[in-house]
Amino acid sequence: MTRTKGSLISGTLTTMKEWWPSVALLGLLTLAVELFARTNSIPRVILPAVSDLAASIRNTGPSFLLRHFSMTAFESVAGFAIGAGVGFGIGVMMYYSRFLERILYPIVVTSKAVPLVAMAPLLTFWLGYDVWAKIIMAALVSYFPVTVGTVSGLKYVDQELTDLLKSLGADERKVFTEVRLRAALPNVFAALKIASVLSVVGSVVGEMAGSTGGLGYLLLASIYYVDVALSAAICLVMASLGLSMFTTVALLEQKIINWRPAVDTGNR
Amino acid sequence: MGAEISVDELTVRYRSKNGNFVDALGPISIHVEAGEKVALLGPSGCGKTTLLKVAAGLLKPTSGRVLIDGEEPDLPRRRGEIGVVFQKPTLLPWRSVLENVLLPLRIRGRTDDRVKRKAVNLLRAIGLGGFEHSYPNELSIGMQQRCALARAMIQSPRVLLLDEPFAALDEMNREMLNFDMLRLCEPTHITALLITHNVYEAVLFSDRVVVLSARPGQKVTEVRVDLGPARDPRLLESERYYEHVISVRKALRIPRLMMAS
Repeated sequence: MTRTKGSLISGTLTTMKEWWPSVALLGLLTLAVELFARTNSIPRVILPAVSDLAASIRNTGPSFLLRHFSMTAFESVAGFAIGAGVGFGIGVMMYYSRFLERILYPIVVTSKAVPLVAMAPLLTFWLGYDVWAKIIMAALVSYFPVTVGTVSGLKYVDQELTDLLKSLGADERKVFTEVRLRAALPNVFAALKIASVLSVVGSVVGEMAGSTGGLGYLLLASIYYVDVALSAAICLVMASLGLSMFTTVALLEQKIINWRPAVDTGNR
Repeated sequence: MGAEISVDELTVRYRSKNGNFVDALGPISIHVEAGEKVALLGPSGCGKTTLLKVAAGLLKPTSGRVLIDGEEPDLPRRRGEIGVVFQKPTLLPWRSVLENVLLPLRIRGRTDDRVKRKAVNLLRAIGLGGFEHSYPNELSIGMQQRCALARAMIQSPRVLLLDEPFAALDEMNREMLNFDMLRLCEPTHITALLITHNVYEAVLFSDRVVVLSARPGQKVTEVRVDLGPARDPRLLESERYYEHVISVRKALRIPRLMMAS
């Protein structure tokens, strides 16, 4: 019955404790790649060692890399925020209006059916080489899961709870804030976590379609110069961006959804 | 304190999925005096819950009416004069026990320190002292139902409607909760309507047991329970109690005969 309410730090610490095997495995793999690459059985230019990645970052200049990183990070975060907001809004509208659901649903699904990579050059044509095309890309990939998560979350609300509130004289606005929204939150957060990682994919694909900066642009350049070590290093930097966005959303979820009983880890 | 409930020639008819009409209840007339505790006993599907929903102002009757002190139930419900406990605890999982108890008042925008103290006292009286800041998922079903009972009582209602509130509990818990509830109700002289299909519970709780027939539920007969207002666990070991149980059981044979014919 104990509850570590809103203690983000202790929560992260226990997570770190629980996750050490994963960290250890990653360390082992890194070591294995490093040692294998150093045998030079495959040319280092093609399979660089992990230390080569670090060296390539050092040679490229961390501040230069950081500038491109922050550009991609900005596009991803902005796109994610817009996508999450719009996705949630569309979800709520579709839940409340069958008419709107009928109009919007096919459009939403179609928008998702167009391959992202195919859409990127088009958006670049229309919106130009600056950040806007990438923000829109990130928003386009992240809104869809949020819409789906919101609608399904709102649909499976316990009707007895909404009936109870109505019987106590609550209007729909109160029912929404007190019951529907909260009951939908676990689903919405699951969607937000997916969307947070996807948004990085969106902005990077956008950058690769035409850009003057950002990690996607840098990646294209490094591929052009066949700098495998730098390409791989950039990929890892992209991953770290997605990972930190995911973690932020997950921590936010932990803080907001504090009513679920402690996860039972005893019987596994 | 309690209000009188008069059920007058009430019928409720549903439209089923294939478009046919189904008579769920009635015609039925029951009069409950102010401060009286009545148990409605009947087979499942006889429309007991339907009757309760009409009395709570949550469902419109097809014909006839239910009046609470001469008013349509909607009005006293809006004033918070009707407390309802459902079969399931129906607590908000994201709110603490205390917040759940205060919910009816918060919806009406009337929470202050005074009602908070009242809620804490109520929780203590129902055996949930010290659990104010626990969340529903951390409680057993019995404790959750205690919380729901406290929520029904927070506005000091004049009518308490109980829809098989303890059906999901084990026998021991059920008995304990029944006594706790009686203890909670006694000083308030509240009018209470208990829906149950448990004969022992019906006799233990009420001043009168009304026996209903199978669908559409109609009043078959009623049995007065002369066990006095103060009831404690020793009552369950007395012959008087079992005499009442037996007469209710005999009364229950009648609807079975009616179904057979």
